[in-house]
Amino acid sequence: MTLAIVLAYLLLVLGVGILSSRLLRRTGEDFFAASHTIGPFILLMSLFGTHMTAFSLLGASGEAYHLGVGVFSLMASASALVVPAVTLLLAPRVWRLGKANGFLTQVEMVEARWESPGLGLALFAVLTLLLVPYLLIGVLGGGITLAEITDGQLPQWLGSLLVSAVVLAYVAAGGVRGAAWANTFQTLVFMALGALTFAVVVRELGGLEAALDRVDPALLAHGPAIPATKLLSYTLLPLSVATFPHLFLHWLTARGTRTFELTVIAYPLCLLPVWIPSVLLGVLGSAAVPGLEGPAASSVLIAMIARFAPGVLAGLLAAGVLAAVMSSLDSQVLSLSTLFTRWLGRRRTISPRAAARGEDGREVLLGRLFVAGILAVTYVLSLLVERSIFRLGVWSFTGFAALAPLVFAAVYWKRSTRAGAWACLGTVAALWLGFFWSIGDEPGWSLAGTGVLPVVVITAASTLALVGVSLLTRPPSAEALGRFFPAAGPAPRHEEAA
Amino acid sequence: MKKLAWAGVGLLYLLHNDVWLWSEPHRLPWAWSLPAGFVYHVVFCVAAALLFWLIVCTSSFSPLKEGGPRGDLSVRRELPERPGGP
Repeated sequence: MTLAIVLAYLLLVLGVGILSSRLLRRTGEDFFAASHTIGPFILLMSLFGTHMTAFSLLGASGEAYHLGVGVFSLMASASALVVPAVTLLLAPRVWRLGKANGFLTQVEMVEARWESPGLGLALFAVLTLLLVPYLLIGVLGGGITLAEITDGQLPQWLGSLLVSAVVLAYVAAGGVRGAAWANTFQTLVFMALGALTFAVVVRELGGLEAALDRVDPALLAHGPAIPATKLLSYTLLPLSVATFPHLFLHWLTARGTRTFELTVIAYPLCLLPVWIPSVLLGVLGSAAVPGLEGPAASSVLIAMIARFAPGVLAGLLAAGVLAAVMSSLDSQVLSLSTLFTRWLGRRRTISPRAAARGEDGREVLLGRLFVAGILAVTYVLSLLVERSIFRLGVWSFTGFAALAPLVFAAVYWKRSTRAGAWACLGTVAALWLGFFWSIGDEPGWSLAGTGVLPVVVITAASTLALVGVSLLTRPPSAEALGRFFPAAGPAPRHEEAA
Repeated sequence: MKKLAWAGVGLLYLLHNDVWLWSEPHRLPWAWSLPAGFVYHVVFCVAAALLFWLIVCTSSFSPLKEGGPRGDLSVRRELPERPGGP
């Protein structure tokens, strides 16, 4: 019965995604940016659903299983402040630039800003590199959920394959419009079912107070596991929203700049029905399902559902977890596809007949083929890695957060130069790969044991590289600045500095 | 107003680091017996939403409003309207 409900849910999501494809106008802009027609509520739901991944449910509960309630402050409350602030500062500017210049990706924006196709190509490579661990989270999370909830009837490899296939089908059919509608549906599902899961499990445990009484008191405070420096380090991770390609793509779908208002205000509140159940169920799981070691704790939420919820409800609750997993996976895959297709697409021409009809059929087809390719590669990787979902997520966020100075400089700092941008990008790539290679398997590592995490080191280094090299090199041309700062143009002192 | 708004964001950032609750497993009977540090960060999220509501809805400053009416912005119209950059 549980399996039947989960499969029915997957079919339902497929239906929503494919139904929205009937609205697709078969142009590249509609496939990738929904022709800038998405309103405030759908934008909030699709942005929030895209941002909440298996990391937020499976990863956070798994980490809370080991570290306690402090995990909420590490990611949830830090995001409640940083994500709306970044959205407020960047999204309207990016939207205007995207609409005025036809940008759909950061790669296009950076190429134009610093007049360097090579820089765009390098950014494309770095973004792809950083998205791989993030994609893995979704594919792994889908497999874990289906394997746990069916008690192994559906093995993890088959669960991952099934989730990848459903995402592939509705993203390929509906593009970003399909993803936005499916995300809205799935975000509502996982927000509602998250609260229901919590209520059902806590009731089975004899009430919240009684359940908390059985938990190790050390897990009810930050304690030594989360030193102040670690908490401060984690506040940098949500800066990653400045550079996530999948969020950038969703920003451009907005109808106007004021469409972002609801997202900025409601985002901190939307975090609560997702992160409160996730963290608390992880903490309660440490007493109810003891003995999970390391990455195995990523499955504690599903283990709790399977143990304490009856068959039909377990299927529904598992569907809620799958909703969170797929609502991110689709946008991540689509954004990578957009990065690739737009980069390649600028090097080919549309047939006169298609151009006359306003159709970019080949661009859409190329996007669909790349979606299939990316998911296939990610699926194979998911069979080979054994890592904690939370830690994979943190590594991915670290790289994206360290790139945030590049995006801020592109839209705010006229004096930033091509060489400075190269220095920033090169610093991030080199340090991220260096850290990942040397300490990727050491979950407790921090700088000299101080609690300072790699994200602090890499972000500080990338900022210094950007600022230092920019100030030492020739400013960008007036023409390039004019596209980004049309009213002011290059300030006189820039010319003097040259 | 703009400076005040971002000062509010800065203040909340400082308040995020609740060192005074660091080793406090004390539970609050009025909040379903949840740990004090956990409740603090839940309230923090609500405070953040209120701050951004103030910035977006009640202050004269908001980057979102630098363009025109809700939902029907045309960038080609609005870009020249804003002196100093997009």
